[in-house]
Amino acid sequence: MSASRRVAIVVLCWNRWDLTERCLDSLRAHTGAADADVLVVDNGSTDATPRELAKRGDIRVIRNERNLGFVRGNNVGLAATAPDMDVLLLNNDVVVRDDGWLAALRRTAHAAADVGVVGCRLVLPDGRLLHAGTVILPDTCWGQQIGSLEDDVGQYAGDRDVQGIVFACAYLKRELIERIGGLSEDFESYFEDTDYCLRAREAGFRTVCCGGVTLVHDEHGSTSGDPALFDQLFRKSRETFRGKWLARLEQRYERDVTWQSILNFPTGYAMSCRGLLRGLDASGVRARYEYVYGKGTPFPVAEPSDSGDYVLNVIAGRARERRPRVAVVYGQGDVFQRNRGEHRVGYTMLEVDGFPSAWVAQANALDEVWVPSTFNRDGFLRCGLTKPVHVMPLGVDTDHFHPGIRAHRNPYGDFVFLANFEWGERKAPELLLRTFNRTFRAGDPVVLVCKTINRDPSVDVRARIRALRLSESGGRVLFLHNVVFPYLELGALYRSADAYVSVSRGEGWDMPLMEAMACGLPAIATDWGAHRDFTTGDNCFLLGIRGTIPAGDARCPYYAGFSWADPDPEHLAVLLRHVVEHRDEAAAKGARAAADVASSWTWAHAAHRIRARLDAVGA
Amino acid sequence: MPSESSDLPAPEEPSSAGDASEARNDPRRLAAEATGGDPAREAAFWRARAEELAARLARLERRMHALSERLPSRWLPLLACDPEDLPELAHWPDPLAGWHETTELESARVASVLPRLWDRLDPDASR
Repeated sequence: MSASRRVAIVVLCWNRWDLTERCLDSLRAHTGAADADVLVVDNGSTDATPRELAKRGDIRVIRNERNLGFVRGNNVGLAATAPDMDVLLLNNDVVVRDDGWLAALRRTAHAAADVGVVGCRLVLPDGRLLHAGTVILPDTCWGQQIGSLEDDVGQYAGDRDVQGIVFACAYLKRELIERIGGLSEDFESYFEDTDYCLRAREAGFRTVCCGGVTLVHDEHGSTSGDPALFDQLFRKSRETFRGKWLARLEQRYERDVTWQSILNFPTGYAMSCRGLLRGLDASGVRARYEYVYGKGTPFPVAEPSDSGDYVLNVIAGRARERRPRVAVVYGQGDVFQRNRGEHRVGYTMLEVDGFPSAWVAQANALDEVWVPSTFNRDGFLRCGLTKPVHVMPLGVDTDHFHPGIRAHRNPYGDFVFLANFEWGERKAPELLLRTFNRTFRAGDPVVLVCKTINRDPSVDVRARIRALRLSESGGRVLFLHNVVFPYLELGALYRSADAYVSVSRGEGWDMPLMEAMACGLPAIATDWGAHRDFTTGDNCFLLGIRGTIPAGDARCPYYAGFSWADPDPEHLAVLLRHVVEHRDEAAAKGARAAADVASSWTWAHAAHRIRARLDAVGA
Repeated sequence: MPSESSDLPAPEEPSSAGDASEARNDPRRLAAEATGGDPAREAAFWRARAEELAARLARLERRMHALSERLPSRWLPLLACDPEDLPELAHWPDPLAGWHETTELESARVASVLPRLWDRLDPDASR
């Protein structure tokens, strides 16, 4: 194994000399001659390509007399590479932008003996992300590109195991080539890359997407001008692929579960349901999603069918089982009774120190209960739960929430605190605004940005803020009110701040806090509630409380009779100032938070815990 | 230990009252009044004033020194600069300016919203 092994870059081209020239020029500009040989396979071009290739002295050229197609053309190149070199297959419609790209791919390839194929992030010329690996579901039997057409905010920045990659850029380690040879000639174009990655997997080699490398790809450079040809090649290859792999893709699922929840609304349960379902699929659990609310429930609204996400749409489209072996209702405890399984699980959370008796009664009619936190477990047990209760923590999407997400920083240098909450008594906005305003002076280079949501017509947020009589000589506050960003862009919002603050009176999890921590922000958070399972004094500034008080929010009848925290404004003032005045300490705490979240609190971690429980109950 | 407050008699009228009050507050006249015109007592009076001023200066120096040791380094230029160069009181952007009270949610992009938000912190725009 060698991290300095030379690489043969095979560029296959067929006409479009303009693309090939651009590709070769970018290679020349950003690739050291000592690192790589460039081999161009001309697939029988009839334009200026042969003539222009002959003029270049820095490449080797193989000319096929006719167009052999993508697969055979690349195999000609592969066969012509030196046997001691790794190979990088590169489309001629790809442009390299950065020095060090090849070394980074090689580093990833040689980071472990079982890495066989390495791909990278691909972006469109307009900057949108095109590819960060592929996911292959037996339901559709193709390699769906991950991240396709998302705005590029720096997501998928790490090295991640993926099922496949597109071979617009594919680093193939020599050990893998020796084991499984070249691309399968069962395919002419399309699916050969997914097929190769699956063959590599069967041979014991992983496919990794190297997030540290981003190349520009004009997708379908060779067939985009001929939709009929594209369609013909795609259909033929897909049928070949299905015949070859469907059964083995089905075998990836070792557990089945019916997941009754909410998916396509902007609620906390729905957003976390999305992460859980994706995580469960990746961990070998075939989930069948069913909407648990609707007519006859506390939320009698029909659910829109499109989640806007390929994997989730597939999961939601799976055929319903008449009597599932295991069903999980993930939602409020008053819909537990809708569970249709033989083994019935209720998975819920609440922001106060107990659970309504109606929820407890429904929970006691199930086989077991899951909650995300020890806080909720203890609350349930105090309220008379008699069935087994398991703590199943939630997670966060660390592909889109991490310290490398692109920020839009305040250019004027003020230290920015961010708070992200729905306006309501539980989030204690008045406490936060008053304390911040009196803690700082207007001249201090500090500002609080509150991203607030209010959907309750009985609440006039402006009037409530005005009633606080914030001092014009005090700390400055800005609002982003009722502005909704695409979820996958929220990381950019967090990264644009210097610290996060949550003075909530109670939380069932506090996903925004976890997202901010995943992004590496130092955070202030109330020392009470479910989030205490993932916050420590090392990764968070814990805000003391003066005790607990009756939970008072008339809009939420579930809270009646229970308590929540009374955060200490004096301690908040101390912490706010401390974070501003001890920025190195705060930054270290933020870095620790990001590391803790990445190592313990991703959706993959959450799904693995659930998978282990499903194993135990024989799902 | 001399205090920071002057032991000179307080002016009876604000200084803006004009020449008459300035004449009444003339330190030489006040010293002469306080010492009854005795040159020895007047000399002692001025010595005491000088010692008191020296003590006040020393105390100010100690305070500046203590501040320079305790304040975050980025604030030290504020201690050293001329008073005229101290930054003006910061603009306090009205948090409710342009507020549109609604329960409708507006879709937006981070990349377009944040620059507009930061513009509200522009110190030049506030003047």
